[in-house]
Parts: sequence; C-alpha cells; structure tokens
Amino acid sequence: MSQSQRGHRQTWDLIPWILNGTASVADREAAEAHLRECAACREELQFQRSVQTAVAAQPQLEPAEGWAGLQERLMNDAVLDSPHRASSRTFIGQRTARFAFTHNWWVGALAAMVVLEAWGIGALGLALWSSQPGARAPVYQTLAAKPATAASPTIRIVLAPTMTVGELQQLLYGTGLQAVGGPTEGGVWSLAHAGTSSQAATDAEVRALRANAAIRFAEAVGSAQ
Amino acid sequence: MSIPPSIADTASERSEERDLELLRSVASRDQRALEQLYRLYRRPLTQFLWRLQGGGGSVDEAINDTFWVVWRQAHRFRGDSRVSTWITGIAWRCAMSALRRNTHERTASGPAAEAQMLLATAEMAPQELEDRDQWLAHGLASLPLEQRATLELAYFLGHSCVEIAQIMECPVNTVKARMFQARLKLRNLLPTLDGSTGQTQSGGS
Repeated sequence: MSQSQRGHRQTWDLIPWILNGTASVADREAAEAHLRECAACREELQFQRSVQTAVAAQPQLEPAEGWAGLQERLMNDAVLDSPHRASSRTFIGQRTARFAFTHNWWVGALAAMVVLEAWGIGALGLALWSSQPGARAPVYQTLAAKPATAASPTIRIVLAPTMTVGELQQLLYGTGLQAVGGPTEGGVWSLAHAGTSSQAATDAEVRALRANAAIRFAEAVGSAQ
Repeated sequence: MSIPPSIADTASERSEERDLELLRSVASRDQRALEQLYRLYRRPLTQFLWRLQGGGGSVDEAINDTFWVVWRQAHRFRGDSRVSTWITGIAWRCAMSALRRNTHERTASGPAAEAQMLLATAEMAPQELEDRDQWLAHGLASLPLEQRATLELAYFLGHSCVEIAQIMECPVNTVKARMFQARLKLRNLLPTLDGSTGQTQSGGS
C-alpha cells in the first residue's frame, strides 16, 4: 500500500471521529491535508455528516419522571443492607399498630387480653427461670432477625417479573446457593452458599447468573459494601 | 470543506469536574447527588436506550436499573474513563440484559425483539421511501444492534472510539470494524444519495 493509499484509508477511517470532534489534533491535521486533495474522502465526509444529522433527527422519547421510583428502591436496599434489620423491625411494629387502630374495638380488646395473658405467662416463666441457680441470660430472636445458623448472603439478585419462586429454586438447585432473604419490595433476593466459597467462585456464579435471561441483576454482596 | 472544531474544550472539562464531584458524593451515600446525576443523564440515555430497543421495550426500567447500579457501584469508580462513559457503559449493559430478557420471553410465542424490529423496517419497500431522511432512517434501523449502537454512541452521544470500546467492553479494533461495516452498509443501502452510485467497497479504494 503506497503512502497516498495509506493516507486515504486513514482519513476514511477517521471521518466519524473528526465529525464528532473526538479525533486528536494530529489526526485532524493529517486528515485535513488529505481532504484537500481527495474528492472521494470529501464526499464521504459529506455523506457521514448527513448520517450524523439523521441520527440526531430521529424521533425522541420524552423521558419519564422516574426519580421517586428509584428513591423507593434505594430505601428498600437500605433496609436489606442494615446489619440488624432495625428498619424492618420498625416496619413490622408499624403494621401491628395500624392493625390495632383500624379494626373493630373488640378485636383490639381481644388482642390486648391475649397480650396481657402472654405477658403474665411470660412473667411467671421468667420468675421460675430466674430462681434457678446458675441461670444464664436468655437469648431472644425476633422473626425479622437473621437466624444464627443461616449463611451470610454473598450475592444479591433481582428477578425478571415473570419468574416465580419455584423457578428460582429450580435455578439454584445444584449450584450450592440458597435464597436466605427477600424479596424486598424492590424485588431484591439475597443468596448464600450452603458451604464455604471463595471470592473467585462467587464472581463466577455472579457471571453465570447475569447470563441468565430471567435474572435482571446479580452482584456480589462484598462488591457493593 | 470545513471540519467542525474539537469539542474537547473547557466546557466539557468543567462538566467532567462537576460529574466527578457528584459521583464522589454518591459514593458517600448522598442521594441528592445521585438525583442530580439522574437528571443530567436521564434524557440522553432515554433516547439512546429507546433507539436501541427499536422504539419499544421498557426504557424507564432500564434507566432506573442504570442509576441503581450507579448508586451501588460509585465507590468502585477509579477514573479510568470519563464519568459519562462509565454511566453510559452501565446503561448499555442494562439494555443488553433487558434485550436478552425480552428475547427470552418472546421466544416461546414469536420472533425476538430485534428480529421484529428488522421485520418492521424491511416492510418498508424502497420505492415508498421518498427522501433522504426516510432512506437514512430505514438504513439505520436495518443495521445490526452493535453497529447501530456504535453509530448512536459516536453521532448522538459524541463518544470517542476508545470510549465506545470501554462502554461496549470490547477492543478498540472491534469498534473500528463495527463503524466500518455500518458505514459500508449504509452506503450500499442508499445508492442514489447525491447522485452517487453506491456499492462503495471500502475506503481503501
């Protein structure tokens, strides 16, 4: 290929980047010199300019105002990320309060009686227990608290809306992964290894999950902390 | 013939500084900074994703997904690219993920999204395309997804060749090859423009 041909090919390749203003100064100067002499490249520059105009002139979609939806999703994530799930306990507490005030009074009264009765039994039990010599402090666990035996989440995923829990279980079967939390209102599931696992293995699993069309998102938990 | 001036001016440097500052704040969990980034990039990314999906699909969801990832990954940004390149790369991956999902969902009942888009444009008989704009719109819609995305990233979002390689996670030579093929296809699809004969083989002639 002669020097002239090389200059022609280089200029031809550079035309889009000259048009969008991202070519280097040196490339631009070399191209300008060639363009002065080459009618074919000038014609191509003109043609690409019309392509650039056509791309810009395509119909445009008015963007939706989706910030509120995104903000809600971030809040749900914050709940999931909280190590002690303090927020989810608050949420459950709020629901209990709403239940008591929005139902018939007798339901509330009945609930109050049950609570008092339970408290009484609990108090009796506590008195009996504390009277035993060498008794240790009790360990309480709320429904929202993570069971002590559960593995720590290593991967978070978001499923496609059409995917069922059964399909998720089927997908995880044989992978050594299990669902240990979720879904949040934002649709986030937490997955953990049944046994021990390396970072490399987790990364490979994340890649495999991402390749699945039914998984909208997958990421290693450590990478987002 | 005049060539437009370079856009690497102080204005774009200022906007990069602004974006970097916002991303740093996002990394330290500042939702207001994320909202600012969202409002800055929502419009161009909406157009980009909408076009890639052939005017269909759930663009809002993909935008939402993009900024959700920005929120979670901001602390991992190392300045290897411009912030706009980094965000556009996330949007590209979100769009690909959505496209794979849609393709998967439609496989059982009908043609894939991309194939449907191509069928729709192929239905336009050449003789019905009256002018240059229609020809170009037809030609652009007929390009394979990666080639069209390359053109959109260069001509609509104004990214450099290297930046497009970062966004699409491919070698720079692949971007060059896609751009080359896209130009060639458009040339061959639009034979009568400016009285040229079309069927241009390459720039090496």
